[in-house]
Amino acid sequence: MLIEFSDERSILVVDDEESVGIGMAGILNDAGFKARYVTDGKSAVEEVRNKPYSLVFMDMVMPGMDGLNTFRKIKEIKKGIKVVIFTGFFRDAQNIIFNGIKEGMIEEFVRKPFFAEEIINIARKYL
Amino acid sequence: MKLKLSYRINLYIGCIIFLGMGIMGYHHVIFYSRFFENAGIEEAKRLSEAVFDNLYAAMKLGGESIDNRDTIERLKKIEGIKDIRIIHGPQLDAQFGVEEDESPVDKLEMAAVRGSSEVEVDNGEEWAVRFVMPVFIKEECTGCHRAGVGDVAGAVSVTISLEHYRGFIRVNKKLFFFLAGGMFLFTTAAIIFTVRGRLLSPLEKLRKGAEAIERGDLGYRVEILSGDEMEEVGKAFDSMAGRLNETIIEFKNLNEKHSKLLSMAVDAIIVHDAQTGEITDVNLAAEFLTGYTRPEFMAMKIDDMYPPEELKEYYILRKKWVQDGRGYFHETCIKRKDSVLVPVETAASVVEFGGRIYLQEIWRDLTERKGFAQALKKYTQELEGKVEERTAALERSFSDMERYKNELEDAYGKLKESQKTLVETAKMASLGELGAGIAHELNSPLAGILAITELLMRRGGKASENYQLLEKIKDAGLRSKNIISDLLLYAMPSRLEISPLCVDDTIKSTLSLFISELKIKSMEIKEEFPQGLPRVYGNKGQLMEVFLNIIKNARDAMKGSGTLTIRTSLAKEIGKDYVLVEIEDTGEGIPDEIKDKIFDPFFTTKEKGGGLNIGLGLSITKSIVKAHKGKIDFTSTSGKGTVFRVFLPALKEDGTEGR
Repeated sequence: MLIEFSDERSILVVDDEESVGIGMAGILNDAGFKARYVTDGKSAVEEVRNKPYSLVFMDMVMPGMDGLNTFRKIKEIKKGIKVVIFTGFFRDAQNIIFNGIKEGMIEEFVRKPFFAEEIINIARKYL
Repeated sequence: MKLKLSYRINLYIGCIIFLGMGIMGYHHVIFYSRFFENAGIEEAKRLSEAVFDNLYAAMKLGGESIDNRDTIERLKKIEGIKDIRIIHGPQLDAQFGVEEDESPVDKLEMAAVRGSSEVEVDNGEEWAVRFVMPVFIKEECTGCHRAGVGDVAGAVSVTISLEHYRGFIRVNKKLFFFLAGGMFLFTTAAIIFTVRGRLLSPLEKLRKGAEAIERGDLGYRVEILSGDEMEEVGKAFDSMAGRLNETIIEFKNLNEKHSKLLSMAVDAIIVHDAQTGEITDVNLAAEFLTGYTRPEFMAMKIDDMYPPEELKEYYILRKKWVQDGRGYFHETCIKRKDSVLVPVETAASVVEFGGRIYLQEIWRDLTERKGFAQALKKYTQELEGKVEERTAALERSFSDMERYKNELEDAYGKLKESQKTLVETAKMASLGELGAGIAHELNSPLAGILAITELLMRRGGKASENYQLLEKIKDAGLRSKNIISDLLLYAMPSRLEISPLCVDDTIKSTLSLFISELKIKSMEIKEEFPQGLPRVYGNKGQLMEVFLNIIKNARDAMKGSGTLTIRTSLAKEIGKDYVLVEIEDTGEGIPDEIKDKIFDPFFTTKEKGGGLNIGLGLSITKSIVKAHKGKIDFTSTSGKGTVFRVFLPALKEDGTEGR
């Protein structure tokens, strides 16, 4: 199923766990957004480069290119894009989060797992 | 004879005064007697001449002897004149015949009729003086008297009474002795006073001082301040006492030093008289080595210390020491009190003291070095003694056993309790470690499960027959999520990035970053952040966790509606500066019965079925605050709400923690 993308309501979900991507994208699409998902940072950068996303939900910790580096790349390509970080708890998670805050990277932070409502509310806030 | 000085002085001076007074009094009486006697004699002489003149004049006018008698009888009546007599010499008797009452009757009258004047003092019943004067024939007398010019015609005897002077002398004598007695008394009093005050009391002080010093009280000072020679003596005494004290202290110190050197020596030291062999001094080590006590030593001779077989050699050596004036090292054996022989190395030296020669022997115990059989015997005996001792101790121990048993049981109970706690702690620690390791791995798939479950629930709608089943999946997933997150937080990061940070910013970040998690839309939030608060030193993430947990509890307590007030201020506690964060809710408050439990791990008021909490939030919060050297407390009023207070050490301007 291919969804047509418009600038305003297109959202990219980046998570190395595919079920998260499927679930989130499904919830957001059902709520009227245009959402797609990818499972690694590299693909995410490609997506942003090729398509006009205006909001990204991204996992902080991923194999290969992690959330922080992916964020930097994405911001290079599209300056005005909003990024919402979500991640689970793990050792030193806070320190990584606040490194992101220092870089002005994180608009909002969602802890994983999350509720459908949380995701929809955040998407509505930014789009 | 022992006699007090004051009495003695009084006695001597009294005697002198008494004697002087006696002599003077005697002289006084004699003087007055002579004086009156002489005066009486002079009076008698003049009266005799007057009598003679009178008679002579009467005779020249041709008077008869009867007229003469008349004249004399008249004169006799004058007071003070005891008697007047006319004595006829031999010429008159020859011419006029002997008249019985006018013949010379005593020696004086006899002498007078022979031509010499005589004086007599009568100290008899009536005190009187008598003057007898011869009467010579003159030219004009030869008309009547048939005698040559210059022949003795007779004599006139006049006796003057001195009796009335006797009273005068007596009164005078009384007066004299009265005055002399007074003088005597006054002199005695003055002597007693002076001797007592000026001599005896300083002397008494000196005596006491001398006694005090004799007793050993060398700090005693007489301090005589009489202003005379006694003060000088007192000063000399005090200075002597001072010097004596110094000397004795010096001597004591020296003596003590030497005694210490002697008594603390590890080798036995014995000093004895070289001639008699009598032991005069020993040290502690000697008592210890031989088993004899010091008094026992003093009654012994050095010869008693050696076994008979060693004595011959010892005598030769001793002779040599004395001859050479010094000792030598040599090895020998001495005999202990219990007859055990101890091998020793002797170092002897010869000491001359007070004209006598003494030998000092220093014995070094060679038992250990040589491991002699005697030593073995000694040790065996000691061992036996110890075994006995221990046996006795063991018996005593049995009685203590019961007591120890109870104590032991108590201790065991406590130990068991501690062990339980320890096991729990260890469990918690490993749980945390494990959780930290697997949590992230679990989190992502869990998020996927929840996301897809929710997606299916939304798509099917509540009418779907699967909706309820999906809801069960969601609940189970949520419980799993909370368990994981709490466990992770409970396993605190071992190393933290810490830096100076602003508490206000941290609170604001918490509110904005976790806005979705906090779900605080329906609450009113008041922020009271004053300007210019100091920063604190900490980990921002952890501190956010602290505020997040408290705010979440507040939210739950208010059940979604109410006012949440977050207030920061500077607080001083026990001299330290703290940044104080107060988070106040208008919720139901914390019941009294759980107030002391809310910081405990796994304590929760929220139902497990709700699936949101396993009770680690405040426990984590407390450990984070503690790790920041801060503290956390709360006050809660039932029905009105709760205030949590977090104190964090304030940073000083120079970047150090506020102290």
